[in-house]
Amino acid sequence: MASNYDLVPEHELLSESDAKKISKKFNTPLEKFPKMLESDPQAVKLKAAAGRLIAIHRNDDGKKYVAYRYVVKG
Amino acid sequence: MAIAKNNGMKVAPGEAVGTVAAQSIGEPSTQMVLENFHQAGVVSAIRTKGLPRLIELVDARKVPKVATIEIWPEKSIMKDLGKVKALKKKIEEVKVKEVISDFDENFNNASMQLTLNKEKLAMYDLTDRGIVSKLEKIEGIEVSSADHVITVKIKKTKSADRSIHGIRVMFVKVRNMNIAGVKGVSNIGIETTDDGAYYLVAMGNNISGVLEIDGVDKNRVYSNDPFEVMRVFGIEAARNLIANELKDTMKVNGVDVSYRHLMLVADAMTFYGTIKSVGRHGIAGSKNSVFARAAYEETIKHFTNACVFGESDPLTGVAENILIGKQIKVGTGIVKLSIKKSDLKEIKGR
Repeated sequence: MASNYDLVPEHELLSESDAKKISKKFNTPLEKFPKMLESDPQAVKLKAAAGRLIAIHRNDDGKKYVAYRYVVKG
Repeated sequence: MAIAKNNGMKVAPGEAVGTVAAQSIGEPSTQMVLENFHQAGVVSAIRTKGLPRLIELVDARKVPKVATIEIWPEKSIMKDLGKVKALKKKIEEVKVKEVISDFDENFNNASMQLTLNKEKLAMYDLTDRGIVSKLEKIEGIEVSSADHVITVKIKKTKSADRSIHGIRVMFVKVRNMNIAGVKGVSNIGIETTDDGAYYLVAMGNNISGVLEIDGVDKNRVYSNDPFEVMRVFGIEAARNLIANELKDTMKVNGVDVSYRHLMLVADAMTFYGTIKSVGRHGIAGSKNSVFARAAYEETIKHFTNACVFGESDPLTGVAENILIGKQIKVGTGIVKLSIKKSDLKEIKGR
């Protein structure tokens, strides 16, 4: 499975306590975050089960920021 | 100064970013090429360009008109044309029909004779036995070979379709069987970069197949098919691909749209973990509000369905609030005034 690919940013599996903190920071329940399927190659690689939160270290046009995706069944 | 400039670039709370993005992409796209013409030249893979490509991306078509794949050789062989050519040969798909000089179908006993072309076999480094072993993977046929002639016979089992149509379908399948290279990757062209390195551009989208070939830089395989990228690399890669492809398509036409708008489109399209189109089957069709969906397309269908299933409308979006004549929650409409209870008493007491 290729990962070190121009298109694939760094994915990081967050602990459940960290996920709660982020949910609180954005004042949004985790279910309303952007989603990622459990069968997604990157989720499989991180062994992320449904209900976990994945941090994505994006680099868009030289601007670095962290985005989040909530893993759902599918 | 710098901080002030930075803060000025931030988006204000309540800004209707979606509408701004739609207008920012929509207006310049009217100036883009409407049809993609056939280009003359030796470029092997001609890509869809201009507005048709933009629509293709935004509509999230499962089968793009022309899927292309970019394959970079490993760094050590990048500048060696001979080795790159060898790599090309390894990847390029070869079908049975390309190495035969003649074929003879017999519908009476459901058999077909394939006469192999010796020169073509040598060109692709193939042997009779190799082809036979590949063909044997097809279910329901018997394969035998003798002196560059391969005989294919449909087995006499109950499940076998031995009607003329069935025989024809099977024989066409045999002739289109992939016997060498990566399935679906054809028309490979070798292109050069400014610093003398070679890379391959081909038609097809089979990333996972190409990744299995030795000598390919596994971190640089690129396809312009978002669905294949999503399948192999995941949803985040697909998001980046959509945004990049939109950007490149517009750039080629001399249209300069801020990347932020394109990112927003890509983010919205990949929000649910899979790629959704922008139209009524995708994002617009999955809106919460009945009114918002009905205001877009297929009004009656949405209202009747809402009646049948007893849907309710929370009236949180823009379209539905305009419909019923309420203030929309955008821009300054997003803030509400409240008053402290103690202050209220004071005012009332006056």
